[in-house]
Amino acid sequence: MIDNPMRTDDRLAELLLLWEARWEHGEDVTAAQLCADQPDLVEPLQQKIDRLKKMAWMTEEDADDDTTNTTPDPLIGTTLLNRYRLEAVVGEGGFGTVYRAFDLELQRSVAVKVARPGRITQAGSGLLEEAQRAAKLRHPGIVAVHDVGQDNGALFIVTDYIEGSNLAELIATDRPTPREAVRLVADIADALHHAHGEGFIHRDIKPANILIDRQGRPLLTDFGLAADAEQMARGVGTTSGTLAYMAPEQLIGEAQLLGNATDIYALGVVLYELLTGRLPFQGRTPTALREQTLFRQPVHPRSLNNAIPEEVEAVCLRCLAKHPADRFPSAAALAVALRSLATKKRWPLPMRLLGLGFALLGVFGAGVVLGMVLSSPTSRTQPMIEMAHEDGVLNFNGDNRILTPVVSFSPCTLEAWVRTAGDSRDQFIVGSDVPNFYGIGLAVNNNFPTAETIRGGFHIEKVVPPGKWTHLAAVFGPEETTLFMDGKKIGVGPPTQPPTRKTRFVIGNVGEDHNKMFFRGKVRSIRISAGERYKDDFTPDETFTKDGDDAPAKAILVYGGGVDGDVVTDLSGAGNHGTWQRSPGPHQPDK
Amino acid sequence: MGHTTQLQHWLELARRGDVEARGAILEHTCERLRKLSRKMLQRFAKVHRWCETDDVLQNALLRLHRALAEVRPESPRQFYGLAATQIRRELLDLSKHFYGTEGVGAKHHSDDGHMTKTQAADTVRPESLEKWTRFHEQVERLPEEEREVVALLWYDGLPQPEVATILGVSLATVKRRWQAARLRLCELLDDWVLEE
Repeated sequence: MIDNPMRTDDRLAELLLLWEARWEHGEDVTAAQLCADQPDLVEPLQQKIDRLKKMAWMTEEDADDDTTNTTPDPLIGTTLLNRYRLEAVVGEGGFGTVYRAFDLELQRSVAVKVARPGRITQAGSGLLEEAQRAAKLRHPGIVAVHDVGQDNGALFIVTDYIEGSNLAELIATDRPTPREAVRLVADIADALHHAHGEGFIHRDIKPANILIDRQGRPLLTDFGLAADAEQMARGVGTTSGTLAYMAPEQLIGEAQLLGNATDIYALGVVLYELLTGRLPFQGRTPTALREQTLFRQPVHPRSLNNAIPEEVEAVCLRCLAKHPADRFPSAAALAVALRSLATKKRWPLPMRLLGLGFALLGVFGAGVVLGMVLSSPTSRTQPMIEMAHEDGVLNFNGDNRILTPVVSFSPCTLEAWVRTAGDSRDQFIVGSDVPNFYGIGLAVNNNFPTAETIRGGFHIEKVVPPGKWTHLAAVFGPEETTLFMDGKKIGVGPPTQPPTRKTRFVIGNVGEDHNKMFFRGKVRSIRISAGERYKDDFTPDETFTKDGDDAPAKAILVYGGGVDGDVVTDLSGAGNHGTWQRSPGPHQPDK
Repeated sequence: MGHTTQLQHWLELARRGDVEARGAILEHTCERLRKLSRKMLQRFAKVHRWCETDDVLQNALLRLHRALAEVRPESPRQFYGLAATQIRRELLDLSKHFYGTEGVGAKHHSDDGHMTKTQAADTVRPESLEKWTRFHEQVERLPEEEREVVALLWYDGLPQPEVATILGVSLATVKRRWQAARLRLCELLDDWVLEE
């Protein structure tokens, strides 16, 4: 009887319930105590008990929330030096905690940064002096420091309270256009030049240290707060975020090489990030990042985003030169270079249009012009005019899409030749039109190939190289769902359930005003097949055409070449022609 | 009136087109979502902000409103199932948004090490948004009975006796499924620790 596995499992489950009941009453009994008379169960039971303990975080009902929210920061409500009443925590940084506070003397809101305990002893009183010195900096592009002091042993710094956000948040949520990026960085370079003139090197320029006020103006903050060079190189007082912005001379602790050019390098990284949405070096570990910063050349920004003019790329790469002497001689020179580019009239639109042989804002004689997207809060990062077709290539700008007449089904195979614009967000290529729900779909999320399988989704951590033609395929089967990249099987996920919602397949954008799932980039050829077309590695066809009789699956939709007005011709022979749609309107699931 | 009975009452009103009732039934779910997203975001100083969690909340509200209009749940069980699914998907979207080489979360991953100190050494709670993503995905793959219990207890935050009532099973069954689900999820999280 004891050998019966079912019985053993049942007994284990009962014992485990017993254990948990007592655990909930604060008793921690061991497996041995619980089943003294059943020694064979002690080991498996203890194993399960240990696991449940490891998962205790799921049963501790919101304990963490309680500590973060109902036990406020002990400093909240206190008044520093009888003057600054701390009201709320607004941020955390390498230096310490940032509070919104009220200046009782001048009756206004201020930001107060309180150094983390230990920070002051770490850096000695030098930090205090440095901060006091930095407090003298005055420039419209620098957050003004009003007071520096110590209360109860804690060093604190009082600055203007800037309502708005910071550049890190902006990059993550609403990355500016290349032109705006150039303007922003030019403004920051001006502020930086002023500080350099006063004898300050910032040493920790990064998006989180660039605040953006309500008018969208950038302000540099945290002058004089960076740990010293040696400490930074060792990682003391820095975050992993900081490392990516550090110049080679900073990384190797060459103190004699540290100078204004060190800040120019960091600003170059910020510009790179603004232009491309990613960092110039992608090392996942500090060691890898150091090695790349010291010895590798960054990927050229234009290969990640072809809307960047060559001259802007050149400026950016010059900032990132390995040797300080090869960078701009001053922040002012950088500002001048950027500003002359930003004010160019025919930029960046001509980059696209001239290449296509069209005159700017002229009469478009050929092709289908879609999406005369004027600047609006949601589309201001989009080009103003986007060609939907260009030599048979389908262009997606995030606001357009193709509605197909094919109702989503499984098993099926979705595949496309795509060239992504390197957008870090969810990039929906093709799938069912079910905003807010999982459907059947092929996407690129965070540059990773992704499939949606009705019940969920999965991605495979292989980067789809931005700006490069890549073949992506997803086979949605009842046994499993498989992702292929350039004909190589890269991963297998759970089976695809039959769709529960009757909606049509769409290409390039899901649903109404759904700003999360859209595609920005080019699609050369796209095919929907009934059944599972691929099982193992294969050589993808350069373009998809009508299937022969021996095809492993039946193509029921092929787009890529023909266009007639807004109609996209189906080349599969099945007659499933699609329709271009602009800024998708309300779309209800088909009844 | 017990919570479930109250909800049943609201659901009936909502089905008759009472907009206020719909607001009331969303409230509970959103508070829950707010807590869960805070849990996920608290390790990321730069995104650990009310406005961020409130953004999530807005999206979830929107999703739920739409879903409610479309699905019209008749029972608390259907409603909570729907709510848990929406919460999970919003959390997944959220972590995808912040995680990744370009996401802000990635850059503040270790956040100076000071956040990670709060993690007790003997738990396997997801630490990064990437792992939260995988955690939520794995919940989605649990056997249905276990998934439903996790949904009601953890995502919706209902007490066990209420979950038993909603599912029409005994309290012991709820406890058993809840244990089984945690054990299964733990194995998975253990694998991640090994991977590192």
